[in-house]
Amino acid sequence: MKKTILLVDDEPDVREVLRLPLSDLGYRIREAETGKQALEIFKAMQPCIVLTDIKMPGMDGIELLQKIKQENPETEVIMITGHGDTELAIRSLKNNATDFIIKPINVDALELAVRRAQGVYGKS
Amino acid sequence: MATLGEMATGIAHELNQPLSVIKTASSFSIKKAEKKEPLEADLLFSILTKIDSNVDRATKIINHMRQFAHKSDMGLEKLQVNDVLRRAFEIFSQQLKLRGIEVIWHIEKDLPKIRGDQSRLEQVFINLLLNARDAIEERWGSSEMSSDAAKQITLRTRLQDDTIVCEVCDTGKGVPQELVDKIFEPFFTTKEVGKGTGLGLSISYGIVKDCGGMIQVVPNMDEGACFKITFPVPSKSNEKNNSPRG
Repeated sequence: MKKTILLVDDEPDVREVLRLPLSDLGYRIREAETGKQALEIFKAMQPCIVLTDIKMPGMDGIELLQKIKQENPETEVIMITGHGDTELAIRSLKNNATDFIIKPINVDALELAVRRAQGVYGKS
Repeated sequence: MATLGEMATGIAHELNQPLSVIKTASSFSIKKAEKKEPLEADLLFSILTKIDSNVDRATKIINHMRQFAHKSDMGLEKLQVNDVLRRAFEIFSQQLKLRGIEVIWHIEKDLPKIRGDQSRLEQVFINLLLNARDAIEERWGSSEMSSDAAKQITLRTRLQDDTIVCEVCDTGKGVPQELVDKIFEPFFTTKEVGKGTGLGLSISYGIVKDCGGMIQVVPNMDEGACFKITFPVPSKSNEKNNSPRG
């Protein structure tokens, strides 16, 4: 069965262009546009990887990260940060995010982060 | 006034969104091409459409900045105050959205045009929006906030007798009665040290005055503050005498 990635970003365009390379890598993609929605989908589907933007209205990516880690500490959560938001990236890592990628997102960096997360997941 | 740093952060964030869509879409296409893997026609169409529309989005932001920086002299032209308000809002819409601040519009359509300086009045509205944002943030940051209050900015325009009235109202911490005159003085600020220069409202006051208008602060209907700006509607005879520059 295909592994699932949950993709969380409040902008439809960003989700759409991220979906293409991830499907190409052979993942099944689920999308959420808010942290709240993401958490509901997460509880229902238990995806192995979550890729989430940090800056979102309502529940932000870091809060989502914390809640997901409470639900299932094994989940690999990759954070998306804006250029220059080093502080947020560090806060994410302190909250046990697997990795972070920086906007504008290059597909190579995206694939690398997902493969790395998959590697960690595969071993555990 | 919106400081350079604050403007730069806002603009960087707004520009990064379309750039990221373009980068991901193009780097994905390059990768496929390198591996000599075909892209189906409808997929290719979808990718190119995304790139195209996001270049437009970035262009819009850049054009906006260019107009903003363009004029150094005060030039009075005929303008629609609703458009100015809309443009000032657009540049910070993302920031307000991220903070969970709802913006409510009560705009009277087809208002008569006023005479003013487009980019400077835009600065005034940006400044009022930033102040509204800060006032809301400060109130929500303090303990006395009631749970049923909503983070709201209300933007109103209307024609009242021979003047055009614009209001930027917030549900923030409000302006105490004893400060209503002081806040337009240069270097007066109630913000935390390092947060405000205390020049925003005094510069705004000057700009509005140069456009023949008036600015004052009144209490908001619910809670918080309302900044009310009034502009005279140019009379027909006035228009003939003072035809636009050029």
